Amino acid sequence: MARRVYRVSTCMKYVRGLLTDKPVLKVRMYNVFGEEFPRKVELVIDTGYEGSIMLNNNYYSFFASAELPREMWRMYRTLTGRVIMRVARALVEVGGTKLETYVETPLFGLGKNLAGREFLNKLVIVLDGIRRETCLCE
Amino acid sequence: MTLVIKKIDEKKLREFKAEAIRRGLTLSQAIEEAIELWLRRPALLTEEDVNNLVYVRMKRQLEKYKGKYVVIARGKFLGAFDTLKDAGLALRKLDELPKHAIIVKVGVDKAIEGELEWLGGSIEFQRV
Repeated sequence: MARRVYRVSTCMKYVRGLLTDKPVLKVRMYNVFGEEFPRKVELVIDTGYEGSIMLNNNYYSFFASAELPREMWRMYRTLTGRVIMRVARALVEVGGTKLETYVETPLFGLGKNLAGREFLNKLVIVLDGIRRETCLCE
Repeated sequence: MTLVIKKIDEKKLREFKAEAIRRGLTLSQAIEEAIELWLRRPALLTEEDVNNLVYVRMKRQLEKYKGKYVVIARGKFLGAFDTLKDAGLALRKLDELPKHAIIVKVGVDKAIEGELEWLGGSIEFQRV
């Protein structure tokens, strides 16, 4: 059996859900002006979401000064129908590294704060469910 | 009040009815909501509309800036820049920071054909 050892650099505690705790990434975010979003953003890890980072409408407005043209907005297939997402650029600081990424929010509806596969695929993450910790690895 | 509408696009109406059902609304509630939204929409173009119009008009010309960050704000093309930081600096030079601007990395940012997926991963329990 092949073995692999991951060296953990930072771990973040899961946050409480109603039934069970949820894995999150706590990140700092910056807009195109280099301004830091006033608080750390807790992004729930969602491997069912194909996009990058989804933010609720309020948070997203902080990044709207680097929005992509409408023709590049994205369409998602969900359990209850289609959702169109606005898309903008942002910088995300996670584990001491700044990454340029897309942030999205639903054109209609409030949205959620999620880390999707397009963003997660840039990182090495261990979900330690027993300890209730999301760990970033080198 | 009863309202009779003639010559309405059948396909659009079917989609509208289906969406109303999905949202748990009656047809009249959905129509009322749609009227309210339409009335609240400003008649004039927003900053966002203007920036997008400029982008559409300039799209072909922008192709020569492949790999650069093109910035459109206040309905004007502000330039093409090597880094996102430089694009941000160009926006900072405006009298007031714009609430909306378009930044496109030419040749990198693309319209995605088809639908992406957002499955049930973010479904949560809710206290009733």
